Amino acid sequence: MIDGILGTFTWFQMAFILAGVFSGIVVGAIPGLTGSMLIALSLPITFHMSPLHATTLLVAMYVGSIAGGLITATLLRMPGSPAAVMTTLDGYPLAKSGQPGRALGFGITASFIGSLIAWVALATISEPLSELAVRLTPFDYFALVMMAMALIASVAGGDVIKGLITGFLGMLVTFPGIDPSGGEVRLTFGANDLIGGFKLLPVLIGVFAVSQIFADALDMKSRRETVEFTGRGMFMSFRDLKEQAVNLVRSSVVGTFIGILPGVGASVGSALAYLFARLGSKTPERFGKGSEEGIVASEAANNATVGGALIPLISLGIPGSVTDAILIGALTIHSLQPGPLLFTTNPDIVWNVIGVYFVATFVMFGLMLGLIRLYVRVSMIPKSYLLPVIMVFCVVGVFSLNNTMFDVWTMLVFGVIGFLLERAGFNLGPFVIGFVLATVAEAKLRQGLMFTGGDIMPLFTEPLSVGMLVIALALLVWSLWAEHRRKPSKEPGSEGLET
Amino acid sequence: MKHVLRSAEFGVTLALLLASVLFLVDSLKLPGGEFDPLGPGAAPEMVASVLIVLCTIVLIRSVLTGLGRYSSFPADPSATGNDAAERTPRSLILFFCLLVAYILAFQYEAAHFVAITIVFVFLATIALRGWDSRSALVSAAVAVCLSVFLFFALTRFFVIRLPGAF
Repeated sequence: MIDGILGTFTWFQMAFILAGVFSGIVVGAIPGLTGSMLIALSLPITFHMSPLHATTLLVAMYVGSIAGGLITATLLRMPGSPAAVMTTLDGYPLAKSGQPGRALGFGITASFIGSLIAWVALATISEPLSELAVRLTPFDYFALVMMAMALIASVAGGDVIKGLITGFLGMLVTFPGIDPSGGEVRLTFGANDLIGGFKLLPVLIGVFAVSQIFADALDMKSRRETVEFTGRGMFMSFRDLKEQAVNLVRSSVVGTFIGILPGVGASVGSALAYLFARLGSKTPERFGKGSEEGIVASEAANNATVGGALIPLISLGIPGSVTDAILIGALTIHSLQPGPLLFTTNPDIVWNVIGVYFVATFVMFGLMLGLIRLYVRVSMIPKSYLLPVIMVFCVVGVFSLNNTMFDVWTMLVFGVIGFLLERAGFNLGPFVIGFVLATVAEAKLRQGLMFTGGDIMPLFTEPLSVGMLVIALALLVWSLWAEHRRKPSKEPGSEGLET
Repeated sequence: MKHVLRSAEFGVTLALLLASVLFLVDSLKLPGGEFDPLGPGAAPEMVASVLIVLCTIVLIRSVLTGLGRYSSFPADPSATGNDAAERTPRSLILFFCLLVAYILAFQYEAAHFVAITIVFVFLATIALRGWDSRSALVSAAVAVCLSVFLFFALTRFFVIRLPGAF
């Protein structure tokens, strides 16, 4: 671990961390652009880097992008990233009351402490968990993937059945191409280009970047409410810290725990922490009107989810959030197999990720405080200038993967599919989780059946696998029941939280 | 009823149902496994079947309970007053057409990369922003800088073959 942290103090590593955190904050600060989008778009660039530098850049971007959402949530009442939605509720009213510096200062400090607490969990839990995970049988692993699917469909928000549909749709689109077990060509519908299957990057960039650009292009005339920025009161006093200590720790722990749950992510983490903060507050009536406790809860939790979400990624190869699903894709592209064996096969990469997360947290804190005026200016750049530029990056980035136009058309088609799914009220989070995990699920199921000579019963009789399947089923039943009792939502676009 | 059939939810779910049926039919044609009990078709069959069931549930539900609930392009819930009324798919359609034209020009190498990218970025910005001389000037500057930078970065450093590069 010490080596992992010390390894980041080279010129190259520090340059990547600075570049990653800075670009992450910038993207996070611009409403409509997300960390998932930035990381997916940066993957083609990382082809030309070593796996160590690639993971450094991407993890730094992840840390920065979650933190950056705070700026516009506070000053423009527009969450820069979905994770900052809860910050808007109190950040903007406090900024509007003449204290924008205080609102941002509380958010930045909470982000910093939330990340550090999550790092402690990441550094201490990952290795023991991966040692446990090595002992999982193929059926256990299959059950774990099913549980992850059920979890994201149930907890990530929105309609449970629609969540399951997008999850299974994500799985379905991985099947065309060569069957990984037997080598037969399947489901290509006569298209030779499909023999290689749908590549991860064109699909991810299509679903997350292009669909978002389309959604933004539909929404060009929305007006922003702005608060003029002054940096007064940016630093939290010792007294403030003491007052917020319990809230900070509680929200960070909630965020870390939610991050660990596969596929749930920052939006749910911050919402839950906000709820707990309000329940535990002496002044709950101030929530929604500029409460510092609300800002602290939301920001500590959403940043903590990053560290929490890296735990299942490193230990189990299961993404803790959509961004982690993209990170899994990045590791795979660099011939690394995320999962329990990563600690054995590539300990340098694992400890580098943990070390980079630690250092990036400090860099994020410094850059947020030091360059806040610059981010505020950047966040004001009209989307109409940015979207065509980002679109060109999408096209060129995807083309450069294999120098083939099929990937570009794949990206466009999945962009349209993602846009239409979101417009129809489908949450896109499960799609990516399904897409990334389908290959693992199929391989483990077939592997398990080969071990047992075609007997499926161990899946339902072994305590661990049956336990996970029962949890998955219980989650689905509970969410469907809860949904049935809820009043139906009237706005499909408002359903679900992007994770 | 007409409203439900035209809704985004109904249309998208129906398309997903048809796609799942297509996948199911094609996977049923696949042979059984030689080395493992499942074979290449089993997983797609299972997933497509589950999708068909789930899509059918959503379709039935939207017909039974969702009459009039959804519109084709629902406005953002944060939109209020005039903002919501101003959001039309016109800019999106224009942007999409320009994008398809850009990709086609890219594919068939209709012109040099720098030229097609300048045209795309400039026109797409105008499509999204509307015409005024200041915006046109800024978007033209952005288009030229981006195109030239990308061309040199990608062809010199990453050795990627772009239209007009070699």
